Amino acid sequence: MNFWDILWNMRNGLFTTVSIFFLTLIISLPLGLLVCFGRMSRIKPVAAFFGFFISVMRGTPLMLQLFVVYFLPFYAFGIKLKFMGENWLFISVVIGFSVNYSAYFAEIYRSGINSVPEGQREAAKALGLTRGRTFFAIILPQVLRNILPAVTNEIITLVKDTSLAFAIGQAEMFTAAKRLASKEVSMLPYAAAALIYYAFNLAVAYVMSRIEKRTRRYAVR
Amino acid sequence: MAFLEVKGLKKSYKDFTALNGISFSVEKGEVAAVIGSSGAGKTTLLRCLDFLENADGGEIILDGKTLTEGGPLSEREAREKRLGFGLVFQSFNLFPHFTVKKNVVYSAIKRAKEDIAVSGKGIKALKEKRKKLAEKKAEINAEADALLGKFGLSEKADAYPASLSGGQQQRAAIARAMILRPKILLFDEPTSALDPALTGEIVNVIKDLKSDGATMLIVTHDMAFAEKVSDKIIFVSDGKVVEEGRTEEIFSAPKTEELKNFINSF
Ligand SMILES: Nc1ncnc2c1ncn2[C@@H]1O[C@H](COP(=O)(O)OP(=O)(O)OP(=O)(O)O)[C@@H](O)[C@H]1O
Ligand SMILES: [Mg+2]
Repeated sequence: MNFWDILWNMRNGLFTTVSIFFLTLIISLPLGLLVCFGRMSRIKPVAAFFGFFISVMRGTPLMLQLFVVYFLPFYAFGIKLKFMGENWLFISVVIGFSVNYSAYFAEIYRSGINSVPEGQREAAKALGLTRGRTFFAIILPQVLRNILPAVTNEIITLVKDTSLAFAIGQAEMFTAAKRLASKEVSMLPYAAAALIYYAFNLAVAYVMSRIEKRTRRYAVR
Repeated sequence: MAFLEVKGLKKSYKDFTALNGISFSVEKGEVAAVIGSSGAGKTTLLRCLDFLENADGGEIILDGKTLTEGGPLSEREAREKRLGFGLVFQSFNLFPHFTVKKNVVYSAIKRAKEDIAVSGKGIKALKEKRKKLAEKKAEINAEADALLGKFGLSEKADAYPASLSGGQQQRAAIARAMILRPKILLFDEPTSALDPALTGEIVNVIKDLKSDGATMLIVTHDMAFAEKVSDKIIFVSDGKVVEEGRTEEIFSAPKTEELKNFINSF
């Protein structure tokens, strides 16, 4: 079995990995903003609740959280898992990843929002802009620029973290590599998997650096 | 009645009194300088005038309208009322991700959008609305170009604030405040963030604006600057107006001991 055969054999796993990755990003980036709003709420109990949520998400293993989400319908609502449909495993993995990453992104957003000088908000206010417009047109673009490096780090971690879905039985790329490795009695499938994760991350780093470059023209001196 | 009347304005932070009943007036077309030592409450005064803070008490009357009626203002009310004032911040606070031109036009365009009410429904009304907005936008753009030209920033219209000198940033900030046609311009320490060599520049800008008929209230502790640009001086200490008068008189014959000491300390 040569290298290309191995890649071909892992295509389904790779597709699952890529799906988990993009779905998690699409859901957790905006969800993180909502969590961040909760965390920064002026209503104390709301802020405290989201603070607690974030600390639990960051303070317990992601793998454990995946199990919790997967078994939640049964333990919380008594629904047998076989009634959850054949896609439940995949869906629960995406939910688990998204919720977990939303906590990390929320903290990144929060530090980003705090890094925008108060004077920006005041200038917007003095010009009669509404609070919503102030946030979305004035504050958020500056936040996004400030947090790009941190977001890049998180995304790269996500690429690698997708392999955790293996633990709960979701057949993704790492699962495919393991299966192939034992069948072929070879380390080559692992090497191929490592290479794919690495190439994936190179692509992520490239895309993010392009975005960073585009925002540099208005960097604050 | 004067153009701007401030009567007994009060503002406290917790147990600290920043404004302890400030009263003064400014006539239309006049340049008034608010002077006083650090911590006297000058910035707080500007912030209360522009409704960035709600004053605890007192009255603000601008062009015959009492803005402070009816107790603390809601965010929406404050948004309307502060439009009579154009505040130029000490550190300018330009939006770094907008070009100079967009910094200037942005608030006016959003305002125009809000003002052009949806009259009726359907395609026709929508088209009408679009047309109105396009006309208004063209107007705003022309006005912004005129302002930028006036302040020598025409070449910088498409530049980002980070590439501007301090003086240029300040003039952009003035243009941004003026696009909404405020009745009075408020400046917080316009010389403090500038190279001393550039103060001559801002003196000229203010004199130009004055000859166009602008009314200005300028907070400063640069006495030489205040003397050059202002018609009247309002001397503030501990959140109160201690002395108020024509600039020549204030400098040649200060009445209170406090003002004498303050002038002599320069
Ligand atoms: N948000 C705030 N919370 C608590 N105290 C404040 C706040 N803002 C201002 N103060 C206090 O109010 C007083 C007046 O402040 P202000 O900024 O108006 O002074 P200033 O005359 O502008 O001084 P400077 O010349 O240094 O700019 C100061 O003692 C300041 O510490
Ligand atoms: Mg001040």
